Amino acid sequence: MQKEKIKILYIDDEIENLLGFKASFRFRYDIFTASNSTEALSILEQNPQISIIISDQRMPEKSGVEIFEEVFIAFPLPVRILMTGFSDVEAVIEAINRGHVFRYVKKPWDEEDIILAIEEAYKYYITNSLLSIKNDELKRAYSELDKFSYSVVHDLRGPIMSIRGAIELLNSEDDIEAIRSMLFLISVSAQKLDEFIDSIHEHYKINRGDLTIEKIDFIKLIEDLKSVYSVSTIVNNIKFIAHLDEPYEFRSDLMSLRLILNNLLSNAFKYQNKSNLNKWVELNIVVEKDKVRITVKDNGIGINENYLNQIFNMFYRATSEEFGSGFGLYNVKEVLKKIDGEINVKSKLDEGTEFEVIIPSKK
Amino acid sequence: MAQSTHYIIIDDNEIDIFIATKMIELSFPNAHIITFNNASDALEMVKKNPFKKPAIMLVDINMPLMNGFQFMEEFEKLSDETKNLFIPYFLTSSINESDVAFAKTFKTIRKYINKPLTSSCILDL
Repeated sequence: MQKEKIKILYIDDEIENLLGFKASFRFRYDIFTASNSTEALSILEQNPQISIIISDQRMPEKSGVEIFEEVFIAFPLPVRILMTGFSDVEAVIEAINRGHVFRYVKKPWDEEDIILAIEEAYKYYITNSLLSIKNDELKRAYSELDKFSYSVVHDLRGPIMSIRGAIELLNSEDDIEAIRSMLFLISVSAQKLDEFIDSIHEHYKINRGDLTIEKIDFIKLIEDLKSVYSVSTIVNNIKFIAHLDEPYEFRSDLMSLRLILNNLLSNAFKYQNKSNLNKWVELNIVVEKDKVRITVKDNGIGINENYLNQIFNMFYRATSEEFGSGFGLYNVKEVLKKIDGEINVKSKLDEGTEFEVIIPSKK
Repeated sequence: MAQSTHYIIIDDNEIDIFIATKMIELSFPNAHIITFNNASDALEMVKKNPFKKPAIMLVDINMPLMNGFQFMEEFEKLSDETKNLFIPYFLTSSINESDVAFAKTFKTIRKYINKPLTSSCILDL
């Protein structure tokens, strides 16, 4: 693993000290300097990776301890080291008692002392921040697992029970046509099962997979999508219109993009108004500078606006019209998080739905 | 012997509706069966009660929008006079303990039946 330099913010009102500090440590660490709390805050804001703050205690406007207290409110994560002369014992005690200081080093500084303090502070920072990240991940994973095990029982067991039911019926059926229609039901159920397993697989691919950033070939992507939905287009008589406007290059993760488009398009094709004679699905891809704007529009059954804010939730389904796992849009939202994209939806019952996805281009 | 030859099936899955219908017809070729693929339509019908005779009601649990539990909550709010015309059962593929436990909190539910529905099961209704 490539080791990045530790990012440190050093606060001191004396310019010579700032320069001296930077000169001594800049090879070893990434040093930012500030001469007062306002500067310190704005540097922290712009550089969220700063993990250690070192401050001089004696400064004319605010003391180091006061600055630490102020900074702590907005930036609690960076570890604080106070630098102070021998005569400031009181300040040291105060700093430690107020609780926000990890170490203090004496001034004038000894390089070894500072390096030691920084290394210790960094370990502390890493453990702490890792712990809080892992904690959040764990909480999320547990709540997902709960929902997941509940739904798996239903969504995996459901089709199997349908199959068993159909087999039960087959036992008391002699008519070949009736047997055929029951076999058809069995195959539909098996297909549902398969779709559900696919979407679980997709879900775990999103969570565990790495991104491969490359130039996206939209022409090829659209061709692929057209062939995927050609059966739907013909069998269900749905017109598929795709537009591409690509004046710029766009870079992102192709697999993520495919997942998003596949889910949105398959919904658009699935939730059509069966009695409508003029069914259509429209895909628009407009590459702008630094981002792409994709819209997937249909004139299908639409989504009741009361449910619109819930459709991205795991296992949520807003209709009983068609079979759905309740996984698709949740997967879309999750993958968009990974590639920093966003999604908006507009829909009217019985008129249709429009999803708009905006994804920034990556370097 | 079954308590009624009138049946109402509430299930979002068309295949399961088909299976249940066929199963009932196998045992009772003259059964009257009404099916719903969503619970809110079923609730509207129940309020009107078209049979004027007690009907066995098979309710799936996991359905979108209004699930079987929500349906039964609404059902149990109805007048005794209406409620007495229905004999509700849960018919579900769920084996979650939490579902089984929650199902027991409904006073009017006769039994929690696991799919698939079998003919012996229908005779016991």
